[in-house]
Amino acid sequence: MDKPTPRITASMIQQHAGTTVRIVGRIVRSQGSGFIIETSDGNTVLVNPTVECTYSANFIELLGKVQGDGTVSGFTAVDLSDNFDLKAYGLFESAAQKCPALFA
Amino acid sequence: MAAYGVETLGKALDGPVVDRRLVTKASKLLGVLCAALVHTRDSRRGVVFGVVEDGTGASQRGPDTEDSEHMGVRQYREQGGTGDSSKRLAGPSVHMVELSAGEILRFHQASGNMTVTTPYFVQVISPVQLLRNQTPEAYRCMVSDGEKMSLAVIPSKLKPLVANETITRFTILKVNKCSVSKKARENEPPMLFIVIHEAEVLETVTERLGNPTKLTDQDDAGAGFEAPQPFAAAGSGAPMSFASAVEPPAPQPAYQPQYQQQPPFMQQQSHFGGAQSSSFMSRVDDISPKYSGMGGSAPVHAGAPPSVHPIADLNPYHNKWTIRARVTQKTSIKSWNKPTSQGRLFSVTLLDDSGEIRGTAFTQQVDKLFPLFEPGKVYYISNAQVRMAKQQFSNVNNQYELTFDNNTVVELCLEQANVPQEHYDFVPLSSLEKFQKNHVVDVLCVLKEVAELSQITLRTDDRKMTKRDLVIVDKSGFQVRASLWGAEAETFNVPVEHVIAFKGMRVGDFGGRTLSLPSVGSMTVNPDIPEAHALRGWYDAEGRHMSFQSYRGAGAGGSAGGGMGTGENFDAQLKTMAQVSAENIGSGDTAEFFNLKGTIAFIRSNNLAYPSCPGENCNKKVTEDLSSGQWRCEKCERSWPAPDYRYIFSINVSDDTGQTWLQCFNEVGELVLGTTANEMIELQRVNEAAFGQKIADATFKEYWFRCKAKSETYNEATRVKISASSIHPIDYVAETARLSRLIDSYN
Repeated sequence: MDKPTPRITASMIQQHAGTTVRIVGRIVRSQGSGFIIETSDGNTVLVNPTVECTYSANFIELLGKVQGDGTVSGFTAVDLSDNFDLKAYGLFESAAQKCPALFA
Repeated sequence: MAAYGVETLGKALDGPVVDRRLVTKASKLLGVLCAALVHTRDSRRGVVFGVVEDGTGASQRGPDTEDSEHMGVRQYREQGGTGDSSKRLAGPSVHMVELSAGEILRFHQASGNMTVTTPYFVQVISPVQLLRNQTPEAYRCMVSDGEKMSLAVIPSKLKPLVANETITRFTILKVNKCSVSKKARENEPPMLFIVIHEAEVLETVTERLGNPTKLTDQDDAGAGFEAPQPFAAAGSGAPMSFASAVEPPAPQPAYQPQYQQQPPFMQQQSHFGGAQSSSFMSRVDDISPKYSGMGGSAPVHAGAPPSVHPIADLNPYHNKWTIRARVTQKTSIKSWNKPTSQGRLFSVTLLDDSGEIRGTAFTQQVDKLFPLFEPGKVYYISNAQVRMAKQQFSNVNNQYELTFDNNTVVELCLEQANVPQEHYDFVPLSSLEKFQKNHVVDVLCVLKEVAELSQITLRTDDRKMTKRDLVIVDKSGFQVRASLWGAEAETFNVPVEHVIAFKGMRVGDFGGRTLSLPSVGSMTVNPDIPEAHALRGWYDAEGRHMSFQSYRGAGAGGSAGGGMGTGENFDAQLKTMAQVSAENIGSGDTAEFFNLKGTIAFIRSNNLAYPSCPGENCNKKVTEDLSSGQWRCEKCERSWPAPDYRYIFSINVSDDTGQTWLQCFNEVGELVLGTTANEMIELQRVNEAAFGQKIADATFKEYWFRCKAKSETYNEATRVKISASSIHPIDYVAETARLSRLIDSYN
């Protein structure tokens, strides 16, 4: 990764339109060619993965670009297994948000 | 002059009545001008004492020696002049401190003892001395109201003021609350003494104000002492309201309490008089805490119940009282057998509107009183001794406790309703963290789990006890382990999901927070109080399905992996390596337990294990007999073909603040290395490379460690040795939550 990719939750999508971001969340269901992912704040985002973007677990970390319409075009995904506590991760995210210098 | 003064006073008291109070009040308002007025009146003297300070800072006060009618009265004088005392005083600052003349006389003439809550003013006229044989320390001194003097006791509460001489000789006090008692004496009239509970120091002057005299026989009876209307009920006579309640007071001796006393009031705003007297009757039944008075000594309560003293007002200086209280707790008869003394005792906890107090009956009274007291019933109790409480035996919130003696009277009260059932101060389980170990709390909870009865050998003195653990939950979303002991544990038969109110639970820090019910505590199942109903409602609606937060942490004792379990507060005992060295943990006499979170940085593997005796319950080192190839255990006195190897090695554990060496025994070793000692020793013998690999695999793993630090002396060197009692892999979810809390606390 050559440029910083902030970790965001679904509610922060709008602020990052046009930028590449990381989203960690749970895959809720498939939708068309893409899927819905739920982040730690409980909100969801529609993701349209590109061809290279594969996943097999319930929880993933997605790297993608936010489109103008609020969906995310997914570049790659990392499996996080099924044993993942999204709430605990949310705690981390809110802490990280307070120290952007550490997590840019 | 003094004698003449007393005589004059006696005459004066017989003289024409003047509303003295009005005089003093007016004089306050109008200043010294009224002193002049008083002066010209015949019989009354204003007891206005003042200290005048002129510009030079010298205080001036002159005795009016010419004024024979005002014996012992000091009045204002003009600066430097001898003139007419009726002249006004000029001068910049005038401190007018008016002692409450006549107050002490009134206390003396009143029959019985009483609690006074209306302020009055006295001056300390003797040096303040330690009262003998009192713990905590109390002080005695003489106080005067300008006319009479009395013995006063300053209890330990006010000790600092005495110690730093804020209260000293000649200090003028405004007494806000006191009890007035009479101590009976042989062949003498009873001695008056005042116990000052609350007072304000107004100022300390340099000499005695007025010319107070001691109370004598002639001051008794007080028939001639007229007080203006407001004080009619204050007890010198026999107002009719008293008559129907109890016997009218005997003329003397005054120390036999027979009826209620209204506390005398100084200020105008007291609402005495007829209105009060009549309402007095209706208040006999009440136990309103501000109402104080003497207990009836009559044993029969078939008629109007005697007036009662609130428990909160009991003190050792007052020994004639009656309380009406409910027995909220009664212990079983305990006996002790020391070389110096043997005996039996039992205790009860007594509760009324104003508070709680513990009462104990010893040897002789045990048989008499044990059958009398029934938990939950209300009794009249009088004539017990009030003593300082021995806090170690009781968790009742009162600095005093009662000792029942031969004179103690206990009667069942017919009216059971007015006294509160049980007083709880419930604490939510979520806030147990903030209580230190051994703190006592009350808890209202729902029973979630019940464990089997277990036997425990106490570490301290090898006693065997039965114990039962429960898991309790409450609305705060927390669950906590609670322990019952002995009989309570054995007879516990409460179904799960019932509401239980615990009183007097001890907080423990056994790996976090636990609760334990000591013998002085109590447990009520499904109490009929509103909070219990609310809790039941909550449980049925939400609680049943909730998952509860538990206090995470480690248990002491090294059961393999199981010692560190859920349900305890880990955080409280979690330390960083830096803290371990900084706090000199374990350097004291006893072993200390604490928790660590760290990474194994190095495993010292040269002597990983020792050959141990395979015999049951024997882990002693066995020595190899090279000729026979047998391994001999000295303790069991037998030999074995092969030993059972057991781990004993040190690991270096680090965290971000530092590092420390921990000793690992067999159970922990197996967890660290993932294999038994026998296998490792074998592997070391057979395949050194694989052995090394196994060690390396175990290194740099992160765990929670439950540690025990102890001071050990080995060859003259005393060192603190820390061993790992148990370890546990990190639960990252819980750890995240903990770290998040930590981060938040920094913000």
